[in-house]
Amino acid sequence: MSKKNKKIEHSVSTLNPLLKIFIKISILTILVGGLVIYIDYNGYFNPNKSKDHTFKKWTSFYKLTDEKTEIDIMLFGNSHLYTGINPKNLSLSIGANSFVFAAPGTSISDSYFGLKEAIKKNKPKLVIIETYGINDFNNYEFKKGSLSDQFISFAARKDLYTKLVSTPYLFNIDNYFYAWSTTIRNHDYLFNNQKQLKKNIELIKNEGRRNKKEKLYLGRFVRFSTGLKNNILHMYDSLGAPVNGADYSYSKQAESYVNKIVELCKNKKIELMFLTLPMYDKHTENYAIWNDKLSEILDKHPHKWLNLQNKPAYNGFNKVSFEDTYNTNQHMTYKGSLLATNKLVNYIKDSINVKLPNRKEDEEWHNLFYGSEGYFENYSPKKGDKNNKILFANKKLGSITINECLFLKINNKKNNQVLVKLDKESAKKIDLEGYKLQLMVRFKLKEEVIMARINLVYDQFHQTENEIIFSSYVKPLSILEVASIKLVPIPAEKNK
Amino acid sequence: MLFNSVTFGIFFPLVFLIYWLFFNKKNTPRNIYLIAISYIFYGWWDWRFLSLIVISSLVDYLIGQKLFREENQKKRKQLLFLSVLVNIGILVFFKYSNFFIDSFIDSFTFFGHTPNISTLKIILPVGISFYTFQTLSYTIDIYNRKMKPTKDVFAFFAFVSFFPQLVAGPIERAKHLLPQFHEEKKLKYEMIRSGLLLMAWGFFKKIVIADRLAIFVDAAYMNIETNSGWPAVLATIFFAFQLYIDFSAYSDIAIGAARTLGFDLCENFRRPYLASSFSNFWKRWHISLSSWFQDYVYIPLGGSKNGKWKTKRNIMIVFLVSGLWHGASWNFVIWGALNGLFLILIDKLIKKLNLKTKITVFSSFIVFAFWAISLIFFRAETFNDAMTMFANLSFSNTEAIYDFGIGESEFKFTIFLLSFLIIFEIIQERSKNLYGWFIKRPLAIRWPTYLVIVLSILFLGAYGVGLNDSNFIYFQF
Repeated sequence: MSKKNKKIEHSVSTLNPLLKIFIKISILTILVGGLVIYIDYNGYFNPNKSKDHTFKKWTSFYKLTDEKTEIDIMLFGNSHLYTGINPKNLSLSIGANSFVFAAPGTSISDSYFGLKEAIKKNKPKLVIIETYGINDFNNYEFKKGSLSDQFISFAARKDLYTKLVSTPYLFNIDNYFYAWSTTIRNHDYLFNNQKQLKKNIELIKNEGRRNKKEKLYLGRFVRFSTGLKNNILHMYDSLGAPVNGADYSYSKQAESYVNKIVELCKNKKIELMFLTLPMYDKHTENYAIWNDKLSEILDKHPHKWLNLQNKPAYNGFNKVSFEDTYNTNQHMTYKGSLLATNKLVNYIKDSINVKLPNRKEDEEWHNLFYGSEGYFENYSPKKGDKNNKILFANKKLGSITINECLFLKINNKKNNQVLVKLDKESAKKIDLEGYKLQLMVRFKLKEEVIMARINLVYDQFHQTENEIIFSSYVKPLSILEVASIKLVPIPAEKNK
Repeated sequence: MLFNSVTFGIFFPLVFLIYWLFFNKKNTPRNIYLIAISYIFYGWWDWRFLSLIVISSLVDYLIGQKLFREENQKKRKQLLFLSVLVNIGILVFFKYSNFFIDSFIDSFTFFGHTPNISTLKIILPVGISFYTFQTLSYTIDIYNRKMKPTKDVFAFFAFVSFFPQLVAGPIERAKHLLPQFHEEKKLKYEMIRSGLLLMAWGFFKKIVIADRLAIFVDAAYMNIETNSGWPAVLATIFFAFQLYIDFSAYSDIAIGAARTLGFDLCENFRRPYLASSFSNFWKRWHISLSSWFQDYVYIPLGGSKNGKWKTKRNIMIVFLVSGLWHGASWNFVIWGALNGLFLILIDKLIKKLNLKTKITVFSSFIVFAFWAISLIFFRAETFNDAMTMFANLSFSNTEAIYDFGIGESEFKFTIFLLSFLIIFEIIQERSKNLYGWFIKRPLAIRWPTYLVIVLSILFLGAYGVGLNDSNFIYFQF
């Protein structure tokens, strides 16, 4: 034994045995704990965060907060919300900033603590809670395997104090370490996901070199693009609905978290509303019972509730609006989400008594959203924008006024978009859903000028307060001028 | 409360600290404290079943007193019978009611008639087989005038409910453990260090090795129709190791935890897979139960004193009862019967071929192979599953071995762990006092070893989000 070692041994052995044990265990704990914290901090066992929108969401929120961007509308829920509402469209339509805080597979308790953290950093005017998370969950009864989503949502949050306080409410004691440490949670990567481990090591090595410019991200996640197909539609007819509203129940815990959210919003003087996003009407039977049970909780409070599953709010949704699945958990497609967003916008404007800021006059706000999805449906391209042009404006088509015809190169390298905005007031006598707009355009192809016809279809998903939109995607081309434009009725059968 | 849970990770250090800071001076407060924390430990699982422990403790405490004072042999027998009736009655009701009802229905069904009797909805109380045997040994020993009863009710209740060994043993004899509740405890550094190290070793064995083997074994038994060939062979071998490592890990943690509180529990496993015969194996495997059956069943039956056939009969009775003790199913009875036969027949063969002295490794291998095969009945859910498993045993389908929960790298690591354990046990068998050798090593060797054990549990343990909490196998008994 070395002299140094002997000295240490001697000094420790003269202590009281209990103190000696305490010191030794403390040293061991510090060494092990320190190592785990170091590995956690560096992210060696991080999951694939490039695919994890929950992590991306909080990072984006904190970035916006750091940039002093005020979030006016915050939406909380689970996967039904992030596939069902498009925050960019919502923001652009309403002229205020919105952000979707939704994490897949989570419940109302997760929404509550997410809300707590979010309003600590950025106080909104309106909070919207999607109701699918109000169910019969009980955090403490979850088994580890089914807690993955809760862990990911918890790990993505960044405020240490709020996380610490929420831990005993979100997890039972045996899950604390999994919730707090990615190293402990994902230690099995050593055998089961060495690829991710190597990727993380590589990422840590190249940390300094990364400087990727993040686009504006408001919590949206497009998961489903195609709607219900015949197979599933036949299953509804032959097997009936996979979900029975009569089976719905909610736990005491869920009810208590709804009450907590109501109380929190009341204390912080934030307007609150509830939102129920729909599933395909044939997907659920006895929805009335579900609705009644949910009303037992929500009707106790004076807050508005937009339930898009109930008619007439459901009107307009159809097979293209929903994920092609017979599973009990059905989400909305991209098109469905646009319609739902539209309905939400109208509801907020008409029924919610909240004074939202009008940012439509704010240039910085326009800069934030410029070119993003839904922007040009609501606003015109800037002067001098080489990519996005106004082909013509204020033209008459019979009695209808064409406010703008745009040629856009936004966000899509493969296709360009031609978009026509008609004045709603001037077109109110015609049911435009039964028409297409036919444009004859001259464009340049290899030094040759060619004439072509472009058919624009009625865009039911991007209607604004004052305008009706027709649009179509076209191959990249260089349009010189629009020679003519006319409304062509679509044969009834085809339109169906 | 599970040993391998965060709850225990908080519970135990608190218990330890409070114990040594406040309760190490006087025996009665200390024993009351031990009863309280033992009841919390047990009640964490289901507090309602604490009443059974209380009933069992109270009945045997009172009967023990009376038995000792009573001179009338007939009355003494009646008192013993009462103790056996209460303890075995509780055990039979909670553990075997449905087994007997099922067997009754099955026997009628066999003759073409199905009686309309439904089974009972009974939860099996954790540890019931262990503590009832422990309290029984107390009254039987008093009856046999091998010990005096304790007058200290708290000491006795603490003896029955002592939390480290309450739910899965070792099944302590009152003669050995009870006097320790009357002794004054002195805090000794060495005692705590060796206890903690033993616990750490137990956790390593359970979390890193046994639970990893469990992934493969569970997957193989869950997919019994598709595991033919090597997967079935490996599942059989792995389960033999899993059972040993899991249970011995529990015993290590129990013995270690008790040691840190100043109690000495009996040894429960002595490297059983190095046994060169079945008789030797049963002196090394679940020693506290084997010796219990030897003392309270085998010897009262006459042991080996009444000739060859009666000895064989007694062996078979002991093993059949032992099978039934393990679980209320015919599979366990078959498992017990097989082991009785192995003890009689295989040992004879080993002796005849003189393998034990010539090639010890070969005889150990034979014992292990037969033992592992018998465990198919132990692990399979039903008799049919066991039969399918037997039919699946062959040396084919090599490519399927990575389809049962653990991939190639983890599989190789598992083999490495088993090899490491075997080598470790061989060294332990030869050197006898490996711990004594280890603690004399310098700091630069001891501390990295501590770190390696803890970090291995943390980083190489088979626990996590995808896996549910893994009970110790012997909890179910």
